[in-house]
Amino acid sequence: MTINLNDNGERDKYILELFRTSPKEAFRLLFDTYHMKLCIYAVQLTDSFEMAEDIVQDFFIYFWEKKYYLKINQNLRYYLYLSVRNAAVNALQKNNMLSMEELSGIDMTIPEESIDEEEQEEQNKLLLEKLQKLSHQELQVVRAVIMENKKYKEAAEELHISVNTLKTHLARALKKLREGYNLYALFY
Amino acid sequence: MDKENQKKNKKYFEYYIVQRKEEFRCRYDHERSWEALQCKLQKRRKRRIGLYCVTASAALFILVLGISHIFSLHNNTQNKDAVVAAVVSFPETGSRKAILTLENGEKVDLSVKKGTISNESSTIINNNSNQLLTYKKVEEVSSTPQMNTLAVPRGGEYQLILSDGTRIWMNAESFLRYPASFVGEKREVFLEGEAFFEVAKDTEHPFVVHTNRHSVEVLGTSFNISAYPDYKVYTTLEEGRVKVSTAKASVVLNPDQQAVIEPDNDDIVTRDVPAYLFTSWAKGNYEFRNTSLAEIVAQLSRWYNVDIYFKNESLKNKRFAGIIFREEELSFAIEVIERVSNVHFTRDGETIYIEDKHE
Repeated sequence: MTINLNDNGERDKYILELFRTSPKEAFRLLFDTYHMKLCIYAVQLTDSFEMAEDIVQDFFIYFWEKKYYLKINQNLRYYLYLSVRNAAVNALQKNNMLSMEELSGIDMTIPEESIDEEEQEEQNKLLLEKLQKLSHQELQVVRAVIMENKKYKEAAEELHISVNTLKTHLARALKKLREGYNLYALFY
Repeated sequence: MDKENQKKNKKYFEYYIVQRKEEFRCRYDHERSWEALQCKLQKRRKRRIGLYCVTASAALFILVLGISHIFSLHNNTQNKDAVVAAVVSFPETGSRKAILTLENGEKVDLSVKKGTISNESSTIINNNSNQLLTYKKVEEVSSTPQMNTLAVPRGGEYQLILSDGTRIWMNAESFLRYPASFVGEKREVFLEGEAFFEVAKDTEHPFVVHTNRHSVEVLGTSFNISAYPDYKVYTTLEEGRVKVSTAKASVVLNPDQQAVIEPDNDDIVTRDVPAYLFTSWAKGNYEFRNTSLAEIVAQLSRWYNVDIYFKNESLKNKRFAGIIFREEELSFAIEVIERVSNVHFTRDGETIYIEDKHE
Protein backbone atom coordinates (compact mmCIF):
# COMPACT_ATOMS: atom_id res chain seq x y z
CA MET A 1 0.00 0.00 0.00
CA THR A 2 1.46 3.32 -0.96
CA ILE A 3 0.61 6.45 0.95
CA ASN A 4 1.27 9.91 -0.25
CA LEU A 5 3.00 11.43 2.75
CA ASN A 6 2.76 14.85 1.18
CA ASP A 7 -0.96 14.75 1.42
CA ASN A 8 -1.74 15.89 4.95
CA GLY A 9 -5.01 14.01 5.26
CA GLU A 10 -3.54 10.71 4.11
CA ARG A 11 -0.47 11.10 6.22
CA ASP A 12 -2.47 11.77 9.40
CA LYS A 13 -4.64 8.74 8.80
CA TYR A 14 -1.53 6.68 8.32
CA ILE A 15 -0.05 7.92 11.59
CA LEU A 16 -3.18 7.01 13.54
CA GLU A 17 -3.21 3.58 11.93
CA LEU A 18 0.45 3.07 12.68
CA PHE A 19 -0.20 3.77 16.36
CA ARG A 20 -2.23 0.60 16.53
CA THR A 21 0.57 -1.55 15.20
CA SER A 22 3.90 0.17 15.99
CA PRO A 23 3.24 3.00 18.41
CA LYS A 24 6.89 3.90 18.88
CA GLU A 25 7.41 4.37 15.18
CA ALA A 26 4.18 6.29 14.89
CA PHE A 27 5.17 8.54 17.78
CA ARG A 28 8.43 9.42 16.09
CA LEU A 29 6.64 10.16 12.84
CA LEU A 30 4.10 12.29 14.67
CA PHE A 31 6.90 14.19 16.36
CA ASP A 32 8.78 14.74 13.12
CA THR A 33 5.68 16.00 11.41
CA TYR A 34 4.17 18.22 14.03
CA HIS A 35 6.54 19.15 16.82
CA MET A 36 8.08 22.25 15.31
CA LYS A 37 4.79 23.52 13.89
CA LEU A 38 3.07 23.14 17.25
CA CYS A 39 5.92 24.93 18.99
CA ILE A 40 5.64 27.80 16.54
CA TYR A 41 1.93 28.00 17.17
CA ALA A 42 2.62 28.10 20.92
CA VAL A 43 5.22 30.85 20.39
CA GLN A 44 2.62 32.81 18.50
CA LEU A 45 0.22 32.58 21.44
CA THR A 46 2.66 33.12 24.29
CA ASP A 47 5.61 34.96 22.73
CA SER A 48 7.87 32.86 24.94
CA PHE A 49 10.23 30.31 23.39
CA GLU A 50 10.74 28.53 26.67
CA MET A 51 7.09 28.38 27.57
CA ALA A 52 6.16 27.16 24.11
CA GLU A 53 8.64 24.30 24.19
CA ASP A 54 7.53 23.27 27.68
CA ILE A 55 3.88 23.28 26.70
CA VAL A 56 4.40 21.19 23.60
CA GLN A 57 6.76 18.80 25.33
CA ASP A 58 4.28 18.25 28.17
CA PHE A 59 1.60 17.58 25.61
CA PHE A 60 3.65 14.97 23.80
CA ILE A 61 4.43 13.33 27.12
CA TYR A 62 0.78 13.03 28.15
CA PHE A 63 -0.19 12.04 24.64
CA TRP A 64 2.19 9.11 24.86
CA GLU A 65 1.72 8.09 28.49
CA LYS A 66 -2.05 8.26 28.44
CA LYS A 67 -2.25 6.71 24.98
CA TYR A 68 -4.46 9.45 23.62
CA TYR A 69 -3.65 8.19 20.15
CA LEU A 70 -6.13 5.38 20.66
CA LYS A 71 -8.91 7.80 21.41
CA ILE A 72 -8.72 10.18 18.49
CA ASN A 73 -11.68 9.94 16.22
CA GLN A 74 -11.51 13.24 14.56
CA ASN A 75 -9.01 15.17 12.57
CA LEU A 76 -5.56 14.53 14.08
CA ARG A 77 -4.16 17.89 13.11
CA TYR A 78 -7.07 19.76 14.58
CA TYR A 79 -6.83 17.73 17.78
CA LEU A 80 -3.12 18.49 18.20
CA TYR A 81 -3.47 22.22 17.64
CA LEU A 82 -6.48 22.45 19.89
CA SER A 83 -4.67 20.64 22.70
CA VAL A 84 -1.68 22.93 22.42
CA ARG A 85 -3.92 25.95 22.32
CA ASN A 86 -5.72 24.90 25.50
CA ALA A 87 -2.46 24.14 27.24
CA ALA A 88 -1.10 27.54 26.24
CA VAL A 89 -4.16 29.34 27.52
CA ASN A 90 -3.91 27.50 30.83
CA ALA A 91 -0.22 28.18 31.20
CA LEU A 92 -0.71 31.88 30.47
CA GLN A 93 -3.49 32.08 33.00
CA LYS A 94 -1.46 30.30 35.62
CA ASN A 95 1.40 32.73 35.12
CA ASN A 96 -0.90 35.70 35.03
CA MET A 97 0.12 36.61 31.50
CA LEU A 98 -1.80 38.00 28.61
CA SER A 99 -1.86 36.01 25.42
CA MET A 100 -0.52 37.61 22.26
CA GLU A 101 -3.94 37.05 20.80
CA GLU A 102 -5.51 39.31 23.40
CA LEU A 103 -2.74 41.88 23.21
CA SER A 104 -2.61 42.16 19.47
CA GLY A 105 -6.24 41.62 18.58
CA ILE A 106 -5.08 39.25 15.87
CA ASP A 107 -7.12 36.13 15.39
CA MET A 108 -5.03 33.11 16.34
CA THR A 109 -7.49 30.28 16.03
CA ILE A 110 -6.11 27.08 14.63
CA PRO A 111 -4.29 27.90 11.40
CA GLU A 112 -5.70 26.68 8.16
CA GLU A 113 -4.06 23.70 6.66
CA SER A 114 -2.48 24.39 3.35
CA ILE A 115 0.08 22.86 1.11
CA ASP A 116 1.66 26.28 0.94
CA GLU A 117 2.36 26.35 4.68
CA GLU A 118 6.03 25.63 4.09
CA GLU A 119 6.17 28.08 1.26
CA GLN A 120 4.49 30.78 3.33
CA GLU A 121 7.12 30.29 6.04
CA GLU A 122 9.92 30.51 3.52
CA GLN A 123 8.47 33.70 2.14
CA ASN A 124 8.10 35.25 5.59
CA LYS A 125 11.74 34.53 6.22
CA LEU A 126 12.80 36.09 2.94
CA LEU A 127 10.68 39.14 3.52
CA LEU A 128 12.16 39.73 6.92
CA GLU A 129 15.67 39.49 5.55
CA LYS A 130 14.85 41.94 2.84
CA LEU A 131 13.02 44.38 5.08
CA GLN A 132 16.10 44.62 7.19
CA LYS A 133 18.17 45.49 4.16
CA LEU A 134 16.05 48.51 3.37
CA SER A 135 17.40 51.87 4.34
CA HIS A 136 15.75 53.91 7.04
CA GLN A 137 13.88 56.05 4.53
CA GLU A 138 12.82 53.15 2.37
CA LEU A 139 11.38 51.32 5.36
CA GLN A 140 9.44 54.41 6.41
CA VAL A 141 8.02 54.74 2.93
CA VAL A 142 7.06 51.06 2.72
CA ARG A 143 5.39 51.30 6.08
CA ALA A 144 3.43 54.42 5.27
CA VAL A 145 2.31 53.48 1.80
CA ILE A 146 1.86 49.74 2.01
CA MET A 147 1.20 48.90 5.63
CA GLU A 148 -0.69 52.02 6.56
CA ASN A 149 -2.25 52.47 3.17
CA LYS A 150 -1.55 56.16 2.95
CA LYS A 151 -1.86 58.06 -0.29
CA TYR A 152 1.41 59.24 -1.77
CA LYS A 153 0.75 62.88 -1.02
CA GLU A 154 -0.20 62.17 2.58
CA ALA A 155 2.77 59.91 3.19
CA ALA A 156 5.18 62.33 1.56
CA GLU A 157 3.94 65.15 3.76
CA GLU A 158 4.25 63.04 6.85
CA LEU A 159 7.79 62.02 6.02
CA HIS A 160 8.82 65.50 4.97
CA ILE A 161 9.88 64.54 1.49
CA SER A 162 8.54 65.33 -1.96
CA VAL A 163 6.18 62.95 -3.70
CA ASN A 164 8.86 62.29 -6.29
CA THR A 165 11.37 61.37 -3.62
CA LEU A 166 8.78 59.12 -2.04
CA LYS A 167 8.14 57.39 -5.34
CA THR A 168 11.85 56.88 -5.85
CA HIS A 169 12.28 55.35 -2.41
CA LEU A 170 9.24 53.20 -2.90
CA ALA A 171 10.38 51.96 -6.29
CA ARG A 172 13.80 51.10 -4.90
CA ALA A 173 12.34 49.38 -1.85
CA LEU A 174 9.88 47.34 -3.87
CA LYS A 175 12.62 46.33 -6.26
CA LYS A 176 14.67 45.07 -3.35
CA LEU A 177 11.69 43.22 -1.93
CA ARG A 178 10.22 41.84 -5.11
CA GLU A 179 12.43 39.08 -6.61
CA GLY A 180 10.01 36.25 -7.03
CA TYR A 181 8.06 37.18 -3.95
CA ASN A 182 4.50 38.15 -3.18
CA LEU A 183 4.62 41.25 -1.02
CA TYR A 184 0.90 41.46 -0.56
CA ALA A 185 0.65 38.03 0.99
CA LEU A 186 2.13 39.32 4.18
CA PHE A 187 0.50 42.71 4.40
CA TYR A 188 -3.04 41.86 3.35
CA MET B 1 -8.33 53.42 20.42
CA ASP B 2 -9.80 54.47 17.10
CA LYS B 3 -10.02 52.20 14.11
CA GLU B 4 -7.06 53.68 12.25
CA ASN B 5 -4.71 53.16 15.14
CA GLN B 6 -6.06 49.72 15.79
CA LYS B 7 -5.22 48.72 12.25
CA LYS B 8 -1.76 50.19 12.51
CA ASN B 9 -1.07 48.43 15.77
CA LYS B 10 -2.20 45.16 14.32
CA LYS B 11 0.25 45.51 11.45
CA TYR B 12 3.11 46.15 13.85
CA PHE B 13 2.11 43.14 15.87
CA GLU B 14 1.94 41.01 12.77
CA TYR B 15 5.40 42.07 11.78
CA TYR B 16 6.67 41.45 15.29
CA ILE B 17 5.08 38.00 15.48
CA VAL B 18 6.53 36.98 12.15
CA GLN B 19 9.95 38.02 13.42
CA ARG B 20 9.54 36.00 16.59
CA LYS B 21 8.42 32.90 14.74
CA GLU B 22 11.40 33.20 12.45
CA GLU B 23 13.75 33.63 15.37
CA PHE B 24 12.35 30.50 16.95
CA ARG B 25 12.74 28.56 13.75
CA CYS B 26 16.40 29.56 13.56
CA ARG B 27 17.10 28.40 17.08
CA TYR B 28 15.07 25.24 16.82
CA ASP B 29 16.95 21.96 17.05
CA HIS B 30 14.67 19.09 16.14
CA GLU B 31 16.94 16.24 17.22
CA ARG B 32 17.73 17.86 20.53
CA SER B 33 14.02 18.35 21.22
CA TRP B 34 13.42 14.70 20.47
CA GLU B 35 16.20 13.63 22.80
CA ALA B 36 14.92 15.89 25.54
CA LEU B 37 11.49 14.35 25.16
CA GLN B 38 12.84 10.79 25.25
CA CYS B 39 14.92 11.58 28.26
CA LYS B 40 11.98 12.98 30.16
CA LEU B 41 9.82 10.02 29.24
CA GLN B 42 12.49 7.66 30.50
CA LYS B 43 12.88 9.52 33.76
CA ARG B 44 9.17 9.36 34.36
CA ARG B 45 9.07 5.66 33.55
CA LYS B 46 11.87 4.98 35.98
CA ARG B 47 10.20 6.92 38.70
CA ARG B 48 7.04 4.91 38.37
CA ILE B 49 8.55 1.46 38.02
CA GLY B 50 11.33 2.13 40.51
CA LEU B 51 13.90 0.52 38.27
CA TYR B 52 17.30 1.85 39.10
CA CYS B 53 19.51 -1.13 38.59
CA VAL B 54 20.77 -1.52 35.06
CA THR B 55 24.05 -2.58 33.61
CA ALA B 56 26.92 -0.28 34.52
CA SER B 57 27.47 1.21 31.07
CA ALA B 58 23.81 1.85 30.41
CA ALA B 59 23.51 3.60 33.75
CA LEU B 60 26.48 5.82 32.94
CA PHE B 61 25.02 6.73 29.57
CA ILE B 62 21.72 7.75 31.09
CA LEU B 63 23.46 9.65 33.86
CA VAL B 64 25.57 11.58 31.36
CA LEU B 65 22.54 12.40 29.27
CA GLY B 66 20.73 13.52 32.39
CA ILE B 67 23.52 15.86 33.42
CA SER B 68 23.94 17.51 30.05
CA HIS B 69 20.21 17.97 29.93
CA ILE B 70 20.23 19.64 33.31
CA PHE B 71 22.95 22.02 32.24
CA SER B 72 21.09 23.13 29.17
CA LEU B 73 17.95 23.56 31.24
CA HIS B 74 19.87 25.79 33.59
CA ASN B 75 21.04 27.95 30.73
CA ASN B 76 17.50 28.28 29.56
CA THR B 77 16.27 29.40 32.92
CA GLN B 78 18.59 32.38 32.79
CA ASN B 79 16.07 33.72 30.39
CA LYS B 80 13.22 33.06 32.73
CA ASP B 81 13.72 36.51 34.11
CA ALA B 82 12.64 37.97 30.80
CA VAL B 83 8.98 38.44 31.50
CA VAL B 84 7.40 37.99 28.23
CA ALA B 85 5.59 40.04 25.70
CA ALA B 86 4.75 43.13 27.59
CA VAL B 87 3.73 44.74 24.40
CA VAL B 88 3.30 48.27 25.39
CA SER B 89 2.39 51.37 23.54
CA PHE B 90 2.94 54.86 24.73
CA PRO B 91 1.16 57.95 23.67
CA GLU B 92 2.05 61.25 22.26
CA THR B 93 2.07 63.73 25.05
CA GLY B 94 0.51 67.06 24.43
CA SER B 95 3.46 69.39 24.73
CA ARG B 96 6.41 69.33 22.40
CA LYS B 97 8.02 72.52 23.62
CA ALA B 98 11.27 72.34 21.80
CA ILE B 99 13.36 75.47 22.12
CA LEU B 100 15.68 76.79 19.43
CA THR B 101 18.47 79.12 20.51
CA LEU B 102 19.93 81.27 17.76
CA GLU B 103 23.45 82.58 17.36
CA ASN B 104 22.59 85.88 18.95
CA GLY B 105 21.18 84.18 22.03
CA GLU B 106 17.55 84.66 21.12
CA LYS B 107 15.34 81.76 22.21
CA VAL B 108 12.47 80.63 20.02
CA ASP B 109 9.64 78.50 21.36
CA LEU B 110 9.07 76.10 18.50
CA SER B 111 5.62 75.11 19.68
CA VAL B 112 4.50 78.66 19.13
CA LYS B 113 6.60 80.03 16.30
CA LYS B 114 5.85 78.25 13.03
CA GLY B 115 6.90 78.93 9.50
CA THR B 116 9.98 80.94 8.69
CA ILE B 117 12.08 81.99 11.63
CA SER B 118 13.86 85.21 10.97
CA ASN B 119 17.54 85.03 11.35
CA GLU B 120 20.18 87.56 10.48
CA SER B 121 22.20 85.06 8.53
CA SER B 122 22.05 83.87 4.99
CA THR B 123 20.10 80.78 5.88
CA ILE B 124 16.37 80.33 6.02
CA ILE B 125 15.05 78.34 8.92
CA ASN B 126 11.62 76.83 8.63
CA ASN B 127 9.63 75.25 11.40
CA ASN B 128 6.66 73.30 10.14
CA SER B 129 3.73 71.99 12.14
CA ASN B 130 5.04 68.44 12.31
CA GLN B 131 8.05 68.97 14.54
CA LEU B 132 10.45 69.45 11.66
CA LEU B 133 13.05 72.18 11.50
CA THR B 134 14.75 72.74 8.14
CA TYR B 135 17.74 74.84 7.23
CA LYS B 136 18.18 76.07 3.69
CA LYS B 137 21.27 77.86 2.51
CA VAL B 138 20.39 80.79 0.28
CA GLU B 139 23.66 82.52 -0.33
CA GLU B 140 27.34 82.30 0.46
CA VAL B 141 27.99 82.36 4.16
CA SER B 142 30.51 84.20 6.25
CA SER B 143 33.58 82.35 7.42
CA THR B 144 32.35 82.02 10.99
CA PRO B 145 29.61 79.46 11.52
CA GLN B 146 26.44 80.65 13.18
CA MET B 147 25.74 78.20 15.98
CA ASN B 148 22.19 77.24 16.84
CA THR B 149 21.03 74.96 19.61
CA LEU B 150 17.92 72.82 19.57
CA ALA B 151 16.70 71.67 22.96
CA VAL B 152 14.16 68.86 23.01
CA PRO B 153 12.42 68.44 26.38
CA ARG B 154 11.22 65.33 28.14
CA GLY B 155 8.13 64.07 26.44
CA GLY B 156 9.17 65.54 23.12
CA GLU B 157 10.91 64.66 19.93
CA TYR B 158 12.01 66.67 16.92
CA GLN B 159 13.41 66.25 13.46
CA LEU B 160 16.03 68.45 11.84
CA ILE B 161 17.27 68.85 8.32
CA LEU B 162 20.53 70.75 8.28
CA SER B 163 21.75 72.95 5.49
CA ASP B 164 23.70 70.10 3.88
CA GLY B 165 20.67 67.84 3.78
CA THR B 166 21.63 65.74 6.80
CA ARG B 167 18.53 64.52 8.63
CA ILE B 168 18.53 64.12 12.37
CA TRP B 169 15.82 62.59 14.56
CA MET B 170 16.13 63.83 18.10
CA ASN B 171 14.81 61.88 21.02
CA ALA B 172 13.40 63.26 24.26
CA GLU B 173 15.66 65.15 26.66
CA SER B 174 18.30 65.88 24.04
CA PHE B 175 20.28 68.89 22.88
CA LEU B 176 22.02 69.50 19.62
CA ARG B 177 24.37 72.38 18.85
CA TYR B 178 25.11 72.91 15.17
CA PRO B 179 25.90 75.62 12.65
CA ALA B 180 23.05 77.15 10.66
CA SER B 181 25.26 76.61 7.67
CA PHE B 182 28.37 74.46 7.45
CA VAL B 183 31.64 76.27 7.00
CA GLY B 184 35.12 74.88 6.86
CA GLU B 185 36.76 71.53 6.39
CA LYS B 186 34.60 69.51 8.76
CA ARG B 187 30.89 69.50 9.45
CA GLU B 188 30.71 69.46 13.23
CA VAL B 189 27.79 69.19 15.63
CA PHE B 190 27.49 68.65 19.40
CA LEU B 191 25.03 66.25 20.96
CA GLU B 192 23.82 65.49 24.44
CA GLY B 193 21.09 62.86 24.71
CA GLU B 194 19.97 60.68 21.82
CA ALA B 195 19.67 61.20 18.10
CA PHE B 196 19.52 59.17 14.93
CA PHE B 197 21.54 60.57 12.04
CA GLU B 198 21.19 60.17 8.29
CA VAL B 199 24.23 62.05 7.11
CA ALA B 200 24.27 63.54 3.63
CA LYS B 201 27.23 62.31 1.67
CA ASP B 202 30.06 64.76 1.18
CA THR B 203 33.42 63.12 0.83
CA GLU B 204 35.27 66.41 1.04
CA HIS B 205 33.80 67.39 4.37
CA PRO B 206 33.63 64.64 6.97
CA PHE B 207 30.71 64.92 9.38
CA VAL B 208 31.67 64.74 13.05
CA VAL B 209 29.35 64.39 16.04
CA HIS B 210 30.87 65.39 19.39
CA THR B 211 29.43 64.43 22.74
CA ASN B 212 30.81 65.00 26.23
CA ARG B 213 32.45 61.63 26.13
CA HIS B 214 33.36 60.85 22.55
CA SER B 215 33.24 61.85 18.93
CA VAL B 216 31.99 60.03 15.86
CA GLU B 217 33.37 60.78 12.41
CA VAL B 218 31.46 59.82 9.26
CA LEU B 219 31.50 60.26 5.55
CA GLY B 220 27.88 59.63 4.71
CA THR B 221 25.85 57.10 6.52
CA SER B 222 23.09 56.38 9.08
CA PHE B 223 23.69 55.68 12.75
CA ASN B 224 22.34 56.23 16.24
CA ILE B 225 24.05 57.86 19.19
CA SER B 226 22.72 57.54 22.71
CA ALA B 227 24.72 59.80 25.02
CA TYR B 228 22.64 60.71 28.06
CA PRO B 229 24.62 62.11 30.99
CA ASP B 230 25.69 59.50 33.57
CA TYR B 231 24.62 56.60 31.37
CA LYS B 232 26.63 54.38 29.06
CA VAL B 233 27.20 55.91 25.64
CA TYR B 234 26.04 53.77 22.73
CA THR B 235 26.92 54.42 19.11
CA THR B 236 25.16 52.05 16.71
CA LEU B 237 25.85 51.92 13.00
CA GLU B 238 23.11 51.05 10.54
CA GLU B 239 24.72 51.82 7.18
CA GLY B 240 28.12 53.08 6.05
CA ARG B 241 31.18 53.45 8.23
CA VAL B 242 32.07 55.60 11.19
CA LYS B 243 35.06 56.19 13.39
CA VAL B 244 34.34 56.46 17.10
CA SER B 245 36.96 58.16 19.30
CA THR B 246 37.31 58.92 23.00
CA ALA B 247 40.20 60.63 24.73
CA LYS B 248 41.79 57.22 25.10
CA ALA B 249 40.77 55.00 22.21
CA SER B 250 39.45 54.91 18.69
CA VAL B 251 37.51 52.31 16.75
CA VAL B 252 35.98 51.95 13.28
CA LEU B 253 32.48 50.51 13.10
CA ASN B 254 30.85 48.49 10.36
CA PRO B 255 27.10 48.16 9.90
CA ASP B 256 25.33 46.31 12.74
CA GLN B 257 28.14 47.10 15.13
CA GLN B 258 27.96 49.13 18.27
CA ALA B 259 30.54 50.98 20.33
CA VAL B 260 29.87 51.15 24.08
CA ILE B 261 31.56 53.60 26.43
CA GLU B 262 31.11 53.27 30.20
CA PRO B 263 30.22 56.36 32.23
CA ASP B 264 33.41 56.22 34.22
CA ASN B 265 36.17 55.44 31.76
CA ASP B 266 37.16 56.12 28.17
CA ASP B 267 37.61 52.58 26.91
CA ILE B 268 35.56 51.55 23.92
CA VAL B 269 33.95 48.12 23.69
CA THR B 270 32.65 46.99 20.30
CA ARG B 271 29.94 44.41 19.86
CA ASP B 272 27.73 43.07 17.09
CA VAL B 273 24.08 44.00 17.42
CA PRO B 274 21.03 44.08 15.20
CA ALA B 275 21.15 47.80 14.51
CA TYR B 276 17.40 48.07 14.11
CA LEU B 277 16.92 47.40 17.83
CA PHE B 278 18.70 50.67 18.58
CA THR B 279 17.42 52.80 15.74
CA SER B 280 13.81 51.73 15.59
CA TRP B 281 12.71 54.51 17.95
CA ALA B 282 13.18 57.01 15.14
CA LYS B 283 10.84 54.92 13.00
CA GLY B 284 8.13 55.03 15.61
CA ASN B 285 8.58 51.96 17.75
CA TYR B 286 11.00 50.90 20.45
CA GLU B 287 12.12 47.30 20.71
CA PHE B 288 14.03 45.76 23.54
CA ARG B 289 15.17 42.32 24.57
CA ASN B 290 15.90 41.40 28.15
CA THR B 291 16.04 44.98 29.37
CA SER B 292 15.80 45.93 33.01
CA LEU B 293 12.75 47.75 34.29
CA ALA B 294 15.06 50.53 35.45
CA GLU B 295 16.18 51.20 31.87
CA ILE B 296 12.70 50.91 30.45
CA VAL B 297 11.37 53.28 33.06
CA ALA B 298 14.14 55.81 32.32
CA GLN B 299 13.00 55.88 28.72
CA LEU B 300 9.30 56.07 29.60
CA SER B 301 10.17 58.93 31.90
CA ARG B 302 11.71 60.87 29.03
CA TRP B 303 8.99 60.13 26.57
CA TYR B 304 6.04 60.84 28.81
CA ASN B 305 7.70 63.50 30.87
CA VAL B 306 6.82 61.92 34.20
CA ASP B 307 8.95 61.20 37.22
CA ILE B 308 8.97 57.54 38.09
CA TYR B 309 10.38 56.28 41.39
CA PHE B 310 10.94 52.78 42.67
CA LYS B 311 9.58 52.14 46.15
CA ASN B 312 11.19 48.73 46.02
CA GLU B 313 14.76 48.87 44.70
CA SER B 314 14.86 45.20 43.74
CA LEU B 315 12.15 45.78 41.14
CA LYS B 316 14.69 47.77 39.12
CA ASN B 317 16.27 44.54 37.96
CA LYS B 318 13.13 42.85 36.68
CA ARG B 319 13.67 42.17 33.03
CA PHE B 320 11.29 42.60 30.14
CA ALA B 321 11.15 41.99 26.45
CA GLY B 322 8.78 43.90 24.30
CA ILE B 323 8.05 46.54 21.78
CA ILE B 324 6.58 49.96 22.38
CA PHE B 325 4.48 51.69 19.79
CA ARG B 326 4.03 55.43 19.64
CA GLU B 327 0.34 55.50 20.28
CA GLU B 328 -1.97 54.89 23.22
CA GLU B 329 -1.71 56.33 26.68
CA LEU B 330 0.75 55.84 29.45
CA SER B 331 -2.01 54.28 31.54
CA PHE B 332 -2.45 51.54 28.96
CA ALA B 333 1.27 50.81 29.04
CA ILE B 334 1.24 50.64 32.82
CA GLU B 335 -1.74 48.34 32.81
CA VAL B 336 0.03 45.88 30.56
CA ILE B 337 3.23 45.84 32.61
CA GLU B 338 1.15 45.26 35.72
CA ARG B 339 -0.74 42.41 34.19
CA VAL B 340 2.36 40.55 33.08
CA SER B 341 4.35 40.94 36.26
CA ASN B 342 4.18 41.52 40.00
CA VAL B 343 4.82 45.20 39.61
CA HIS B 344 2.31 47.81 40.65
CA PHE B 345 2.24 51.46 39.60
CA THR B 346 0.56 54.20 41.61
CA ARG B 347 0.17 57.70 40.33
CA ASP B 348 0.32 60.85 42.39
CA GLY B 349 -0.12 63.81 40.11
CA GLU B 350 2.86 63.94 37.79
CA THR B 351 4.83 61.37 39.80
CA ILE B 352 4.56 57.63 39.48
CA TYR B 353 5.70 55.06 42.04
CA ILE B 354 6.59 51.44 41.42
CA GLU B 355 6.13 48.83 44.13
CA ASP B 356 5.28 45.17 44.64
CA LYS B 357 1.75 44.13 43.91
CA HIS B 358 1.16 42.70 47.35
CA GLU B 359 1.95 45.86 49.24
